[in-house]
Amino acid sequence: MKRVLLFAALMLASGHQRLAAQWNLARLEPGDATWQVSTALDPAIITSIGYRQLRTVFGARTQFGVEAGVVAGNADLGDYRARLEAGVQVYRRGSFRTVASAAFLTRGTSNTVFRGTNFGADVGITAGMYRPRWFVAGETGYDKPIVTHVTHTQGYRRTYYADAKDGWYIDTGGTRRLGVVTGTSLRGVELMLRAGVARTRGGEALVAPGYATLGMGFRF
Amino acid sequence: MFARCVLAMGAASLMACDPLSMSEPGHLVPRTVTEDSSLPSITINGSRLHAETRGTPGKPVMIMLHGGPGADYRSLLALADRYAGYSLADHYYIVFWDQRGAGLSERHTQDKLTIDQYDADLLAIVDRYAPGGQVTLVGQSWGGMYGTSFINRHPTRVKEAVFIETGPLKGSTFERIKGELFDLHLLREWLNDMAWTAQFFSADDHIRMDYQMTIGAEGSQPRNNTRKGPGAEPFWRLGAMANRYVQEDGQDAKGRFNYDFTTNLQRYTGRVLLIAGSRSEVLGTPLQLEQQPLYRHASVEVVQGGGHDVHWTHTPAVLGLMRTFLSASGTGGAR
Repeated sequence: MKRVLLFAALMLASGHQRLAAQWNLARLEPGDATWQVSTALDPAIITSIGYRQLRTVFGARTQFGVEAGVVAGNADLGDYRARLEAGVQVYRRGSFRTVASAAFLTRGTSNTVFRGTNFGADVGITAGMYRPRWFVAGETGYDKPIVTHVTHTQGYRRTYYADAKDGWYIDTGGTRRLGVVTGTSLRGVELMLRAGVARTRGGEALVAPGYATLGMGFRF
Repeated sequence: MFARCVLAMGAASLMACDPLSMSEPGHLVPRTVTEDSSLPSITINGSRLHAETRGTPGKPVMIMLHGGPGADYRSLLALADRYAGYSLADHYYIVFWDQRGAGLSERHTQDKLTIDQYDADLLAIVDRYAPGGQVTLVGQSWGGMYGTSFINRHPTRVKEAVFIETGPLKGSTFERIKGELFDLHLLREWLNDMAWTAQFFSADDHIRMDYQMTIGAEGSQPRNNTRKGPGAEPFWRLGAMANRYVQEDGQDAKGRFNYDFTTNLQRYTGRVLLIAGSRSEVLGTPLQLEQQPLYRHASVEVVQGGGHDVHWTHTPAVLGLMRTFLSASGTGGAR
């Protein structure tokens, strides 16, 4: 959270006050780009920075973006997530819009048991009311690790299981989510709040049974 | 575009090697007795338990109770080793076993992981090795709680007991100290590491649940001051569902611990030795002294320099205390 506030303060202090902050599709026009910073419980405490740009692709408003984040509590940056995403407005009727999104993700972790890297995909749909100064929408999605490389630590081999298998693992599961996302413009900065529940593919609760994101966006 | 990226990365990765399955027994965690028939086991109340014995049949029976719920007896095996010419195995027929759903024992669903079922399992083991007779119980951490619960229900079946770093014997005590015991700060690395694993695998089966639990095992209770790194207390495999559901069975609907393993304890006339590690801040000396009066005949001994894993890091000192205590009954060997 401190990193988010610091970033926001720097943006405001460096003359960006006149930029129309934006995270709301209703206020974006093709060519507009935004920066976002966020802190989330998703599924651990993660602080991220992202860049997104709206373009028109085959007549559809499409937002492309990249985002990278690091998990709290680990100064060596061993736990991270990077995503490359696209969101397409697939339906609009007045202020009601439906956006379908897909993302390619890579993630890393380093803990007492294993070091891991994986590649995965996230698909989702968001539908709701998008007005120039605010929006509120429901969302659902599925995050799927596709291939995960695991290297077990010497500590795990020594203390628990010497014959643990290192290598590429497939079909390791997935996470479903259901929640709401809302945002509003406040003195040139757009605030976004996202929250919901998450379950494993098999319906089990995660360590953190829900997710929540607090973010700020800046258009330029 | 994204699908292509994913497919390209996946294909490149998979071409490089044979992909593995996390659900395949033996990949992430050791096989249980139901997956590896070469492991020593017994069947109790329809459940196959990882178990072995030390010593000679016919000697007084000593039953070991490991911690958890959900851990295993691997580190307790050190208590059967010989130190300074003394071994418990010379004087007792010692039974080591992994509790239901724990260690390398068979896994079960929630309905088979209750305190009542655990009690029935221990009673069946006592009946198996000492039919109609008495046994000596040795328990560590949860093992001390489990053993005390058994004494509370079956006071005539236990001759004497040694409980090392016993956890809280009443739910009200657990409620009071749990904030000190678990480090649940949201920014703690162990907690975030454990939560972050959802990005890598889903804990949807016993293998992955047990594996995930291991990630949080080292950092969740820092005030136990257990040894880290080389020489740390070893385990085979944790039982996540046993850990979760046996604990939940001791809670009310709001998740508050409400069990009480002491309701009948004053009827027990046998002796109890409570051992604490001096560096164990929450479950150590203060808790053992507080719980001492709950038994009629209990004494407390403190091992200097030991943490919650004192039986592993200070085995000779613990065995010395046990030897002195057990020799008083004439079965533990004279000093």
